[in-house]
Amino acid sequence: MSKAVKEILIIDDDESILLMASKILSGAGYRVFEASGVEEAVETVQKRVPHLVITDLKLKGESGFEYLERHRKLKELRNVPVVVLSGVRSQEAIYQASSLGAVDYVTKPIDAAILVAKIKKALKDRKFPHVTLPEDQRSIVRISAPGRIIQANEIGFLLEAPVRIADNTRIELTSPLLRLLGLETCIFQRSQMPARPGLPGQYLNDVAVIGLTSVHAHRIREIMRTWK
Amino acid sequence: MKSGQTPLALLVDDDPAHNKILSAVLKKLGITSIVTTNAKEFLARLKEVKPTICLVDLNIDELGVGYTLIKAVRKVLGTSMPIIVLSGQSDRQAIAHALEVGANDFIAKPLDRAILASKLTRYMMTEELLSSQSAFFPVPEGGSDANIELEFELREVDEFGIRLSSRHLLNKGSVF
Repeated sequence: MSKAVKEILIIDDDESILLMASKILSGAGYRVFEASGVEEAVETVQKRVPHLVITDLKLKGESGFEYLERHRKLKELRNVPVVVLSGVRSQEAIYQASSLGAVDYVTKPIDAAILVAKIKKALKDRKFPHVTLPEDQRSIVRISAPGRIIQANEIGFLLEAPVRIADNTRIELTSPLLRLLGLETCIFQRSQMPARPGLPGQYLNDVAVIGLTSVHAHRIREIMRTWK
Repeated sequence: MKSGQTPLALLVDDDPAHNKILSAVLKKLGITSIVTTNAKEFLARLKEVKPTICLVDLNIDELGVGYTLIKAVRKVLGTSMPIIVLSGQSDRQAIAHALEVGANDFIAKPLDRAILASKLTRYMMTEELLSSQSAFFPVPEGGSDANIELEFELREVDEFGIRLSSRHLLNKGSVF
């Protein structure tokens, strides 16, 4: 799991504002993306949904209000708040932005402390989807782990792996060695001998081969003879 | 196994020739065997003799009765009694089914003595058996790569990751 860094998209056509806001927000621990217009912003958010969007109102081409409208219509952005960052201080603008869904309104010139406080609040209020699946709906995930068979005898082997496999469980295992020994028809089971720590980050898992015949035994002996 | 106790194996197989050979092999390993040839006899002796281990054929009396016997042993004596299946069947399905109903191990016929001895060692630590235990050999070139497939249950999801649960323990920081 990577460290949880929240991502913010800033829309402004003024390079110096983008630069300043980026610096403030990255300094506060956010990852920042920039867009200089509505079209570019809409493209960006669809590729990578941010945790929050900051938009200016007066932009070249479509305005920040138009961004708010388009933002509302995108299903994947339903949980993403928009904060307006604008030099416009009129009641009408604030009212219009809020009615279009903006959660907060920060005025320019940028005050770093206020901007960060408002962003923090907007993100805090927001619940990001976290799902705990009910027991009957939990699906099975298959995980592939790399391992290494380091020792073997005629009834089992030691499997070094970054997993401590639970005792007495059946495991699906493939390895060139097992193919060479002709054991594809057998079942592999972690034996009742407890797994133990091996090299750093590794466990030694004692695996029993179940379903051996004398045909297997001959082949195993023949091959192991060549190891000495 | 406690020292001083004579290891006792309870056998069930309807093939007398097989029973004779098996008893002889077990005797060499210091294990006394009690031979039964049908399910009824096996169950009766099971309660009487308190064996150290049960060696069960799958097809006694009729097809698949062995599975029922394994279940019966588990019910009567719990999980501590080792049960090894000895069977002419050796397909994965039969092996898997035997393990599911409670067998500890499965050796397919024709039996290999060394394998039988090694497997028995795992379940009964007699002196004779310990001396015949197979040693581990180092695999050449530092080992053979293996791919392990494990099943986990998906419990929680959020945008930063997923939470899985299982009886296995994954090492921190490993990549899967």
